[in-house]
Amino acid sequence: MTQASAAALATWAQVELARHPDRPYALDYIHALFSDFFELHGDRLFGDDHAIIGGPAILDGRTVMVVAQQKGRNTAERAMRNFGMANPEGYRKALRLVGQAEKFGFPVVALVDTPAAFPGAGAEERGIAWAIADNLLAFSQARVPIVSLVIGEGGSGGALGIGVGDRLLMMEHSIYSVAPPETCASILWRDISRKLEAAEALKLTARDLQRLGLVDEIVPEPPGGAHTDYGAAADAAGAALRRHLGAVEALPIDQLLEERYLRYRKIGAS
Amino acid sequence: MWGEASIAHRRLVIVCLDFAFMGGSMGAATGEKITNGIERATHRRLPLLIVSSSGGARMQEGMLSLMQMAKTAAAIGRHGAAGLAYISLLTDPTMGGVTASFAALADVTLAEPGAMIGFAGPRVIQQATYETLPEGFQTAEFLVKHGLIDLVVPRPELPTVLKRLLELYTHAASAGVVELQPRNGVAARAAAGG
Repeated sequence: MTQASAAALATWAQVELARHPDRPYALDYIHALFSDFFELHGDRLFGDDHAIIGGPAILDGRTVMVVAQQKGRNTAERAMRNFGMANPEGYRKALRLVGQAEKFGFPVVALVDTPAAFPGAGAEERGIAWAIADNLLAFSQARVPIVSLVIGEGGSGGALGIGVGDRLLMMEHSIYSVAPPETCASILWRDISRKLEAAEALKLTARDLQRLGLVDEIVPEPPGGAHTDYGAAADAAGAALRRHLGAVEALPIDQLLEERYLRYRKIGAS
Repeated sequence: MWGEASIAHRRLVIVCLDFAFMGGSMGAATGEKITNGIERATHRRLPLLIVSSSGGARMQEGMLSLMQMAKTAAAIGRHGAAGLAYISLLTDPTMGGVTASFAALADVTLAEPGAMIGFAGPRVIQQATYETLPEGFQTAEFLVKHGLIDLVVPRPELPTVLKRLLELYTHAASAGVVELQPRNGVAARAAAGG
């Protein structure tokens, strides 16, 4: 075995951990971290997307707005959640909730966990690209602090559609990439079987992305991964969220917005 | 590439993607140039025309490519908040992370006849869903029908259309009469139907 393929196998082990079927999902973190999460439904335009959930919740005595991508635990729930792949309605519901957060001055906590935005004919007809683009712009301008935590898979524009903010945190064994490895292999080589090679080339692990300067903090998981101890994973996530929320909430909002703009402005700048 | 130009004696910034170079894909250098063009328009208080043709975010540069979506969208946000007009012209093909960022955020969106425009490519959709895609799926005409763009414009008619739009959208600013309020924030966007 060559060294390159050994590295690819190690990266693929991270991909499989990030996608582990027993891994804690958004609602597991939400119920552990917040008291009184009140889920709101619908985008007020077309429907309610169960792949993106959200609503107000209490954290340390104050209200925050939670926006999260939710996968299903069993076959029926996976179908209901569309395997965590949101349609335009999910992004538009998230936009509605962030607008509400601005109205009431609630900081936003975004939990990212999606393979990708849903690649379907209906999603295209209803403007999935427009829904994501609107969120990129709106989140970049929202006059409330936003902290994002990738809990499992951060897949492409589908993740970024709720992922723009003041801080980006990643669970230790989560991944975040420009496209899922399978899609990348399909686009570059028209060959999904080269997904391991694609995963290695994409630099998608939390450590890779911290080296690129894109991640503010890697949240440690219990030995073996978050699925071995939900309580420990949620405690670590909660501690990191509290710390970063506290830091961004302390800044005047105009300064925070300027820093948010520069945060993205400097990525790839020469 | 980008630069300042005049159409019918009205100054504007034009940004143009080149499909011939790596499928017009948006990596770090591409995103940086697009953002520089947008910011020039904002600082010079000029309207903006972006001509897109792109396969999407550049896979080869990984997450740095994805983040160009956020960067360009945020730059468009500042241009729009300054009350300046942005026209997006989508040419064949415009897909993926380019459609899902700056290209979809214009005040007026035009496309060339028959141009393929969308997010996920037809091959990716068919591999994921086994759906049979309808005739004309993701063409410019399909997007007009679904309310996603304003107008399909054949190339010979483009100069006239662009001239009319520039006059309509820059009249107030050039007359110096109307002081546009920045449209900052989500609530303002929602209120304006943005």
